[in-house]
Amino acid sequence: MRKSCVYLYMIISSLILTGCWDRYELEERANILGLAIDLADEDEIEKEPEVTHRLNHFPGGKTGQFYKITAQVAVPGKIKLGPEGGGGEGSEKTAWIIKTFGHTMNDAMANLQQQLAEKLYLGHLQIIVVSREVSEKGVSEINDFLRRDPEVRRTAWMIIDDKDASKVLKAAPPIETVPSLYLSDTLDNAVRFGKLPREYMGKFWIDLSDDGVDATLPAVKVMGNDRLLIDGMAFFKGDKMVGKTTPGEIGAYMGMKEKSPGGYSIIVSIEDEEGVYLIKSLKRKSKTAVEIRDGKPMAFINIKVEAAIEEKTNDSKLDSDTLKKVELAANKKAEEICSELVKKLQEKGSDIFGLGARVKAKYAGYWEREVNRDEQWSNVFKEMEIKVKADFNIRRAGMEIN
Amino acid sequence: MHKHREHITPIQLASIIISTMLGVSMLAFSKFVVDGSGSGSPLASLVGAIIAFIGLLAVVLLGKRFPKKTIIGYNETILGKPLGRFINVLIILFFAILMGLETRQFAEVVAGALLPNTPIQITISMMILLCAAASLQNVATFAYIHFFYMPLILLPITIVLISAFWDIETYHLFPIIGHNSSFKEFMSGGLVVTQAILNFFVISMVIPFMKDPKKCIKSGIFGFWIGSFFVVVIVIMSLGVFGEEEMKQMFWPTLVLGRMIQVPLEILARIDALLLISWIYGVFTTLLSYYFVFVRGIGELFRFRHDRIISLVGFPVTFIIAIFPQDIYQMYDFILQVTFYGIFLTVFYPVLLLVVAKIRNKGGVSV
Repeated sequence: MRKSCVYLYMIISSLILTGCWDRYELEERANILGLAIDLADEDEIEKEPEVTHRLNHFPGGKTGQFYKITAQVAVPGKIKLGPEGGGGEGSEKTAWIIKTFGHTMNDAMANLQQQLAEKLYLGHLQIIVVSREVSEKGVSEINDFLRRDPEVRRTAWMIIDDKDASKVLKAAPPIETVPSLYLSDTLDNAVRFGKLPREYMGKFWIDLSDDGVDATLPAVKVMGNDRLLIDGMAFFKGDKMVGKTTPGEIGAYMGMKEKSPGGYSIIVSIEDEEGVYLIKSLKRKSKTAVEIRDGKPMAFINIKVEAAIEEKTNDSKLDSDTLKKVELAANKKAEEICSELVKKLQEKGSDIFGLGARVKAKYAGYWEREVNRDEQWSNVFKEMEIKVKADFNIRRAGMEIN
Repeated sequence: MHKHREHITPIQLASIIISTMLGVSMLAFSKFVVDGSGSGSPLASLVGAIIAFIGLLAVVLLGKRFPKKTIIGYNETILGKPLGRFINVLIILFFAILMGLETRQFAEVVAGALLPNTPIQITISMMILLCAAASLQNVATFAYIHFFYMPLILLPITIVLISAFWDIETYHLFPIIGHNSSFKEFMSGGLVVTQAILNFFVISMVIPFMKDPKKCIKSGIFGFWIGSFFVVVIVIMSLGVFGEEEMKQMFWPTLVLGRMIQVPLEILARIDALLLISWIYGVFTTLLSYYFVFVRGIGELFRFRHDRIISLVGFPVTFIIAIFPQDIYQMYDFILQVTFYGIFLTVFYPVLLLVVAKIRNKGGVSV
């Protein structure tokens, strides 16, 4: 009797305990790999199905904002994998690109779910492309949905496209079957090469929340319909994008923020000598100090760069003395680039270096008296003095002595 | 006193404290600390841990003084039967309510972040059933369970915390005493830590089962500070990575931390799964301790030897408590309130008890 009870118990528990209430097999999921968020045109509003609300009955008088969301969906086992997509033909061949409309993110997603047989799954979301138009109006609405949803990973990338975000998702390289993966690899590897700071979505959100720090996102541009150019960094003021750097200025920013490894090269020429030197930064180190002098905040950013000569285009001999000269020239050049970037940011009042947060941490009293609010800080930031000093150390010169 | 063949070693006692302290609240408490004391949270947590430590000291000293009795027993000896019994009922009630609410918190995390379609009733009843089944065993097994799971709890959380180190922004951690925070705000954050770790109290039910109860002081302190170390480091790391403002916006900073972290060298793509598994071990050991206090406490209070029956009766009781809060906000309100009053019961009360025991000269061992 006792024995049979034990057996019965074992059978029942092996049946029950191995089950899962939230079971969705892989092929029952519509894995969204990429999302592109644009503003929809006037005439597209009518295309919206009445899923979460009746037509023209969106509450809150918020009828102005209307998103067009393009999703790149992969349904495992249902998309053709393998080298079938031809080069440069766009991603329609290999993944499924679906357009949907909505007043908010979730509104659009609900509309999308209404059209799909599989359950939408955001756990594999790699990349979220936001058009410049949307980001200039503010991204906090988009963020709320993404932050609330437990499936979304904070390590996904959020990027800005100047014109049409949906075009980025359509870009498909000939060598990768899942286009979004290639796009996110482009960004991940750019981080490894030191071309891009590790500003993925989670970091972006942290910067957005912080007092005295303004956020940045990578900006991209589609090249030839099959790849991405990392086209600088979009910088924000509050949750609104206010400007964009050039790709070269990413290097300056990373230098000032001490983001290693170094990846960008700097081109310098020495006085009374022909030709130029290309110097690649290998390792960056920087010290940011803030001070209050006469009741005004000041910042000193000292950058130390370990570098190597990668190329030169003149006949002169390279030795320790010339190297010193090249270093000096590089210092000057770097300071110039950095100061320009700082000036650009100050004009827009976007403190992406987090100087405000440092002031807040170090001079709490000053912060409470004079600033106290994130918005007020951007005014102070506009006026403050920021001194950038660069110190290049060229360690080696490749395989050539000269 | 049925103290037969059940010998707990000092290391087991320490691991009981550690794995009990690191439990359900591991994911959420740091948010409430930061709500109170902002950038002063690391310091506040330390203060909170020290407050809890006072309670722990009292508990182990009492344990040394009454090496053959649990808190249920020496309560009656020190305070006399009526008052002692009244406090005993309070203690059992406190742990029953805490058990229910913490189970609910566990279920809310599971429903909110892991398994959105699984009804929380199922999650809750599964967890309580598991604890009920495990608490049927004797005290030695209870200690073994804790000893076995302790490394499985500590290791993944260590990996997450170490990997988080590279993402810290130092300006999140300063000024170290908090920004514009009054002493009251500072302490309100610190007390959350005390509230989160006051469950060290379970050892007062275990000490008499030790092979040598006199060793409880050393191992109790040892276990407590290892547990507190992790608690404080969790606060430092989550604050350092997220900063004050970001942490105020989420329910479970530690979980998000696990999701954001990339282990160096890309050994694992995602470690949040690892973190969650270890967290579930932590939840289990913590809830098991609560249930243990509940079952053993009632058994001893009413001189009722049939633990199985108490376990069975305890199931619907804790289930109803768990199901009681209407929503997640209310649940956290309840937890914070209940554990706040718990401080009096688990920290101040043992100190008081120790003083009374000295005055009335009860308990034989120490002079």
